[in-house]
Amino acid sequence: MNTDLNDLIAAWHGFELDEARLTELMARLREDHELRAAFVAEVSMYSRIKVVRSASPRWLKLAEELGVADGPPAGEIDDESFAETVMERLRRTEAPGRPASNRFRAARNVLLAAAALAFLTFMVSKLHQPPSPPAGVEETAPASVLAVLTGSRDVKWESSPAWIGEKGIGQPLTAGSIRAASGSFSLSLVNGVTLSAEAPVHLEVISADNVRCLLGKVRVHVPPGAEGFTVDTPNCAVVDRGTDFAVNVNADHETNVMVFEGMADVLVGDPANRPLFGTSLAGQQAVKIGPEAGSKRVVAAKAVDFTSPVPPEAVPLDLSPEYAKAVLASGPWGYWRFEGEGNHHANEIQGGPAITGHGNVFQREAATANRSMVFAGNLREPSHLKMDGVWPRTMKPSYAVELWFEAENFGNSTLLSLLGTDIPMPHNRHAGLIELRANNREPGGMRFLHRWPAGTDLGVNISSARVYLPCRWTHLVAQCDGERLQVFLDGALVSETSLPLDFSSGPVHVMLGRLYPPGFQDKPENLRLFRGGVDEFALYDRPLSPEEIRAHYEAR
Amino acid sequence: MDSSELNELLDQVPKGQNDAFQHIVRAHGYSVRCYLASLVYHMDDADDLAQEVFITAFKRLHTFRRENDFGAWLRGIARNLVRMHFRTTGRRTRAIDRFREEVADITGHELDAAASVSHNESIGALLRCVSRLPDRLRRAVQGGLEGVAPSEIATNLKTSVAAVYQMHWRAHQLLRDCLARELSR
Repeated sequence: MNTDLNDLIAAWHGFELDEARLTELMARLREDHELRAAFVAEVSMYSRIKVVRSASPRWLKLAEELGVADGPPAGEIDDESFAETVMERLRRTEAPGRPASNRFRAARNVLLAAAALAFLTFMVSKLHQPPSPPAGVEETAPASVLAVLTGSRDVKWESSPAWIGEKGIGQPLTAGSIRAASGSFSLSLVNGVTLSAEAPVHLEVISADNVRCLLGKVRVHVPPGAEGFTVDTPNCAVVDRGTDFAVNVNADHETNVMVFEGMADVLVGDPANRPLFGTSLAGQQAVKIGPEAGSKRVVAAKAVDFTSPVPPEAVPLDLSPEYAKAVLASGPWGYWRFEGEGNHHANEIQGGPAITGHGNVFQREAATANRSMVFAGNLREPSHLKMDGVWPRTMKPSYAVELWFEAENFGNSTLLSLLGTDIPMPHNRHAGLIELRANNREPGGMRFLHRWPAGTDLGVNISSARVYLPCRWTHLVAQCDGERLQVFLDGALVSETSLPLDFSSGPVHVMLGRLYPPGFQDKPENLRLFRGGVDEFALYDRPLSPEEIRAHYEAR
Repeated sequence: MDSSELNELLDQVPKGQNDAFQHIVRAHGYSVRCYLASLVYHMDDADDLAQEVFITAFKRLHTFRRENDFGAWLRGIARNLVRMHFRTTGRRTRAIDRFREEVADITGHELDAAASVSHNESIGALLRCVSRLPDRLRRAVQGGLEGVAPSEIATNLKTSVAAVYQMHWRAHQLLRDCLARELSR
């Protein structure tokens, strides 16, 4: 933003400038088309925001002129205006030291001008996006994939164009219609939202953050990073603010909304979908929206009237015996197959450390008798696997991590934590991470971090979006060859980045399934627990060649 | 509201169906208020003037030519009322009002064009986009909207003033793209 525009905006907001400067600015505004356009764009958008945050005016004089009653239609109970809804949304964030009063003060500084510019829609720039896969590599979950079916109970499907391929657990869906006559099912959306539905149901998946419910019962969980997820019904829109909520739509288009946890805004529109008013619901609050335009009534919350979440289904991993042979032929430092009994899992490499299971983690057996580990932990009983002892690693960063994983949902979770050994455990100083990500900016994504020395910030990351689907086993290799970080999925390179020349490495503790070790004092919700399956975990003191990685994958 | 809907409503008003005019007010109220706020700045003034715009429009509805754009016609009424608003005795003596009057005069054509794309549909989109800002950016934006000094925002967010500026620019980019995606659906 240049100085002239900055000063014009500041003056418009009431900041005092000397007369000479004002004269100069007016002259520039007359002569400079670009400056004028930028100023207008900012002023008009800032005004739009101001109107939205202001209370709806009561035009009694107009009502008298028209000879009509002012105010909302009969049957209404008092509720918040749109403007109050918007500002309440903004105020929900903590701001210690901020004045309690919501009195609007005339702005006198560049920052307000910059804030106004925040709402310009006419300047050209692009959002930062995670790196695209290398040329020739297809995305596992291309942009057309919006969700995956993760759970299903006695569902009788009807015509549902949203399906990509056969209907079944782990199958992806694109934008489109989903109908079922009976049963219930759950979807995991690429931004981490989980949606359960009870038939008879007719849904339209519009995007990862917008679903339309024309009939049926839905239950939604929206994790952090996916706020703003919206369920549209024939007569209202439920906009999430970070919550668990449910929506019922009956054949008469009457909508019931209940928030179980967190907050949601219910925006009621007329039949032409023009917004009429909005209201906010907190935990255990419910509202009924009638089929007639603008009819809304607060009702007593009855959780039993709304559907319950449908849990995802576990998927076993069938592997050929050739897979283990291929891995062993590559000479891993450690290799754990989780085939034995009990909680203490032996290393296939003689003399190597075992891995111990903690919490709600157990084995699952496939038809081929291959066993994999299932992480079924929650905040009350987290689960993880931890290697006994330390992985020594060389000073030059040259190593590889290999495993199979199956996530039960898109979500933010930690597959692998590598923690420093320079201070006693427990601590939060990471030397490496492999995480699954799911939010509005990183749908179905993955992050591989290398950091040395171990710490809480800095390091080198590579991130990929749309690289995995839940309820499907995926082969993963994350490695460092001293010059690059690389991630291979299902035998193909999906992302890589260069390391700075002076990067090094060192010994680490190895943990699977959670971000921080037990005993580290942090909020439980920051554990980023992984839920799903892991198998065939291997560590190498060297990077694998692309040919080896491909051969391992194809030996499955 | 498309032209056929508008014409139907315009047909009903002369027959005494004044609630038909309420539908027109509902359809155009947001854009008229936005336009006026961009001219006169204070919402109280903008809302008072908006009411006068619709009263004037109701009384002079018979002068509207149906081949013209109704929103533009309303904004023409608004511009006249704004000129009279700035010419009241008290406002002529205040430098800030003289400044805003001159700015409105210079940028009137562009503001009118910008107002023609202010639709009710963007309200919900804006609501969703703001709620999806990362927490720190949302707090910085909120502070700016409420006129909080940048130094105070920096203190609240435990960062520097320079970082607060950078956060606003980042928020600009995120909201721009979010709105563009929302409104293109």
